[in-house]
Amino acid sequence: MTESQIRALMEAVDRADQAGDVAEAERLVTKALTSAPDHPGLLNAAGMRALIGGRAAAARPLLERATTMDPASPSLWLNLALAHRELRDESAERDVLEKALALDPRFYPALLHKARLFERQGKRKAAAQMYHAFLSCVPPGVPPTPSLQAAMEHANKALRENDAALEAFLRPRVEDMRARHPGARLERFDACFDTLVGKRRFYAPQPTFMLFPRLPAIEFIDREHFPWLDAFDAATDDIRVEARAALTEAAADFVPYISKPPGSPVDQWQELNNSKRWSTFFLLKNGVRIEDHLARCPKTASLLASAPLCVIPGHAPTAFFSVLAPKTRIPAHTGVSNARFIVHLPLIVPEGCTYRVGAETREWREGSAWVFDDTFEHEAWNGSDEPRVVLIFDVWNAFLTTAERDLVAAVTSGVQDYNEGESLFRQGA
Amino acid sequence: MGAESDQRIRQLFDAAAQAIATGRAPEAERLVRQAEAEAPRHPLVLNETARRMLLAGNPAGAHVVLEQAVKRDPSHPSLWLSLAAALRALNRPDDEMAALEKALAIDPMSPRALLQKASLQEVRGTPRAAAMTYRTALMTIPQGVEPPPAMSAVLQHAREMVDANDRALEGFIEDRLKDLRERYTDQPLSRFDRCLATLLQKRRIYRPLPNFMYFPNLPAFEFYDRSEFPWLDSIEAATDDIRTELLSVLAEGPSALEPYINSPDMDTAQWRELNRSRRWGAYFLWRDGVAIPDHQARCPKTVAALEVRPRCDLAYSSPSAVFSILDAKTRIPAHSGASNARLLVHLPLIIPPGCGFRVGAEQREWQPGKALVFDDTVEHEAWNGSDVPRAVLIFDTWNPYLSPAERELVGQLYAIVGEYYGTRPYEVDHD
Repeated sequence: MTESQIRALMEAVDRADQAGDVAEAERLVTKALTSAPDHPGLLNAAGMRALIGGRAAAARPLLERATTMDPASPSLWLNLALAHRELRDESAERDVLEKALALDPRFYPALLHKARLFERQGKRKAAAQMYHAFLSCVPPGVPPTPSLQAAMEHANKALRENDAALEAFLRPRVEDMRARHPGARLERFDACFDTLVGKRRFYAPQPTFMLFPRLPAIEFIDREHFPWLDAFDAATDDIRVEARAALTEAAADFVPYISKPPGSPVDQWQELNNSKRWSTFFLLKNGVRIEDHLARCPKTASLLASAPLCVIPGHAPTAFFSVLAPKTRIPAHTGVSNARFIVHLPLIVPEGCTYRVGAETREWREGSAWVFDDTFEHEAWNGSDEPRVVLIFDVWNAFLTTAERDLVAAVTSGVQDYNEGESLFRQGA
Repeated sequence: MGAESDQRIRQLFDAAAQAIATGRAPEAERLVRQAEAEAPRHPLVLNETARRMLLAGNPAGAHVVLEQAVKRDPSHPSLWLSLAAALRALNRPDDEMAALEKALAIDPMSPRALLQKASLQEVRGTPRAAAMTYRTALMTIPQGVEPPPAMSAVLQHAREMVDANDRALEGFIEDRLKDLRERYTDQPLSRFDRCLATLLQKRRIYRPLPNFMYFPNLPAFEFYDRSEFPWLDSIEAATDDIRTELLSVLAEGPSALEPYINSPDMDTAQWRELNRSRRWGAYFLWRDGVAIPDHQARCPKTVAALEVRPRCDLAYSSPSAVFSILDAKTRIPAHSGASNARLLVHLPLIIPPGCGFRVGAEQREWQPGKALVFDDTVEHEAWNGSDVPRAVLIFDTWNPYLSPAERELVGQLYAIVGEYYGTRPYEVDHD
């Protein structure tokens, strides 16, 4: 029998199966095997028909013979493993799975079945490691079949359970060790630990305009770098009074924060684009003083004037009251450059507001400013029935030297001039 | 027109496009004629009529037809695109831009609309704006997707425009930076230079991607500044002694070495060539945290020189110290390591010309006796293009940015995780 005759016969078998004519399919398979008893593809097809039909004992010798005729195919070894599994022969199943993996250590169906075997044997840790290997070897970008999808979900569940068990095992010992270092700064280690046990996702700065490399990448940056922020905290009540006055007396000057020119992608901003559900009252905008707004808020203006803000001609500083309407969410997004940080001074914070930057979720506390790197993906939500008001402004990344700040400013303005006024860095329209 | 009939006309055009794609032009022609007969005023039929008029050199006629078509159906980006094409032929750039903006308002990421807008910006003499639009257009094409051959020339042009613009922008910026660079000649500007190179698309962004333990919030470098490791001075000073010890080992012949990669787990496409092969040979003094007494006894000066390093002890992993011998004409493929809590040091011993080493976006030349410290969790690769072997002493040390408390905790964490699994934690266990 030629290869093409065999292929034609196997297609005829498929057609008979699809038509529900099992007897005809069987007859064709038997006929083919009689003329080509050593053809690995045929042996495999016949074996898998038997296996799926619930005749594992009949399937096994066929599949065994297939692997003998073509020992270089991981799939044939895997199918033989399936027959061993049905026959409850765990040690044979393990052996042939190893054969498949020796041929291709990243053959994910074999990794999956090895994980399942470990799980059936009660070897939970080994199963979790194998599920992890399986998940990392499933090729990305290919939509999974429903059964693969289910297997991936189960694998993820097994991993989560193992992570929880690992954490329970580690936690008391880590606590003992931590106690040996009283006074030491351990938040980085804690983040390392949480990442290891799968409780913390890994985020990296993803600036849309300029990445400044080699800096420590930290979601919320220590207040110790910004001692002058104490004055802002202390003046919170005064600043809040000015913000409230602006809200009542100059409501029309609060403009939508998101206002995309027509023809530009709106992406996640559909809901907030051109909407006053997230509105801003600018005091400084792209380095320009908004005089009538500053005049309304003299105390805020004087604090900003004395603060070491980020200065980039045509771009920074920017300072504004940000008003987030009740039951409104700012979707996850990333900022333009990690060369600067963003300060939030919470002014009016109803219950039910939260803020996430990368892997860190925090709650605003009135009068307690924080500094964060907005090139980490971040999002905000106001789940309350009241508006939330925060004073926002930008400062230099504390880890940049003076020379680096000057050069970053020159490059940012230079790119804008080169592009005849266009700049990805600028705030608002 | 009813929705059903609209659906039918769209199907006819889809089928015609399919026929064109599979080289059945007469079939396509028949399907289009069919659509014309069934719905002569359908926007797609009008679009097709206009397309033929344009091809026949009648842009004015096409323009009239398309103006009608967009009135009937302003929601169809391809009508606006055809209208823009007609306006291009009629040399009406302002109207063409208006038509393109309509198409982009419907689909801001349409590659065709973006490419045509960029080309119009070129025509209008704004090459910088054109380059920005070309860049956006190129970004809309997903990686790994093969664009239709008809687009390859225009995409090639787009790439050339973007590259030329990056070079022009670079000149423009460096001109602006002259004064500042003069003012700051005494300042370290290597971070800034990398920032600028990234902005100008001359440098890709690489990040540490440990396959076991990620230590966050640290500054991430490919190669660390040598000045962070003053203790390397004495190890560098011992280079000749270390090399002599290695040569005496090598004098035994190839059997003195074992394959650097030697594991059934490594029979992957990436490692198959080097796995179990002495083309990448190793002579371990410490391996995965375990001392090899016989080997250490043969290299006493090397072992003594290494005493000064801030030695990290990590269960199943560190310390490690190994002579790494890379054969002539051999390449170590790109890979990344287990944790950025520890760093690797290379002390180059025998370096023929034609060798190279890349970590992330940085490529360095090995120089005998000049140590390099790098983060092996950043993708890295090495090659020996010469006709003789290359030899480097590789060992590990703590990331200098970890505090003593952090080092101790990381060490304990390795030990406990190893205890939990009863094995090296970050490799697949095949037992």
